[in-house]
Amino acid sequence: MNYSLILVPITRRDVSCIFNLAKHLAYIIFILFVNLSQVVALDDVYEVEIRLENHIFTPSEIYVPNNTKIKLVIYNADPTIEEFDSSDLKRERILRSKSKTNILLAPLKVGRYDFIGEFYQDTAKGTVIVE
Amino acid sequence: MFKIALVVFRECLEISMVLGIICAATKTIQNSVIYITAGIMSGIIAAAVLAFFITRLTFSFSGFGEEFFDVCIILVTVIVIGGTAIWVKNYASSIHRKIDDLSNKIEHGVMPKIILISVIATTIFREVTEIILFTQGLASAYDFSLTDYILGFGGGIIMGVAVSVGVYYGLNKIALKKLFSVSFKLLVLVAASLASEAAGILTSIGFLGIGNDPLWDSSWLVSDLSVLGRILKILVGYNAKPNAMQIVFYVGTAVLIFTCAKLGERKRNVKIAS
Repeated sequence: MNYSLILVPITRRDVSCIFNLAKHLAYIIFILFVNLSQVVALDDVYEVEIRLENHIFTPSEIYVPNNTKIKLVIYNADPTIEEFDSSDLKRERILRSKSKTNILLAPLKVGRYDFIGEFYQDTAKGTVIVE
Repeated sequence: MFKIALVVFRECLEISMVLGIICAATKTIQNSVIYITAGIMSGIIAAAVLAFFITRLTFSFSGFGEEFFDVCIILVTVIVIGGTAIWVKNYASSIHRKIDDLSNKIEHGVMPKIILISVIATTIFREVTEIILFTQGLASAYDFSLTDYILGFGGGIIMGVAVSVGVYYGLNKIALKKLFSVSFKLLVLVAASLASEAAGILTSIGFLGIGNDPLWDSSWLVSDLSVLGRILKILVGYNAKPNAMQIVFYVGTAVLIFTCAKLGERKRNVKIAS
């Protein structure tokens, strides 16, 4: 696919450039989709179970080894939904009520990575500590 | 009630800014208000549809369904905002050269109208889904009465609109020539910030295997969670601990949009000269 084409169409003011744009977008999304399904080789994944109850994460300090894929298995026991939000981990996920959510993380460097429950920030907090 | 208003306002902040800029930069398009309204409505409807399904369906894609969806929405928004920025730059240079000014009416063609609707629809879509989810979260905990909802939403939206109007009039105070170049730069910043957000998600899930580690930590200066941090996040996509990929996407997007805009100008000059 000739990618220099992506620079040219946007300057033309007729509808065919919309189709060009849509074509490129669809291609990018397809590539993303194909590659995403190969991202997780589920060998060597360090699993951690977390329970969210009464808007508190237990355990709130999670120790994981470095350079290892991590899977946070969060069970939301509350009747309310919550949003797992971490700017350190650059991840956001809705945690549906009374259900389990898996959050897969790529290997991390040594350090502390905070996360919160966005809807109940005062109590729902935790840290992933990579050693 | 105040909780709801606060939530709505916070999420509105980003839309308000982008909307204000777009409205100011495109006010010369005839009937731009119609397209803007169409964009707002399609965005809200799409968001309502999504919010309805999100609590029922589970995307899978090896567990990355939500992230995949988020990244797609963000990339579409980046492209659409980039397109708007490029259009604004082109329009600015044609005014500068007073070329199309045959009868004080400038022929825009269909592109900017479609761009206008899409950019507003995508931005509104992202933020309204957040608002709906957030409100659902609050609703399941607190017992809000209907008046609480109406007042809360109303209050939040009014404050959001106030920000939009503020941005719009603020930009309008700038002389016409400068308005477009300022709008262009602001739109580029928004697009670059969104792109770096997408990069953050992609590195977090391990899709992009490199550039995952944070390059620096500026929390001592401005923390992500502080008010200033949040404002900077909306304005320039500030991150206290950005990783290499995010920087690459940020700079790359800005450079790409600039290049496309410059190329567009040159093509216009060639077309006009011939």
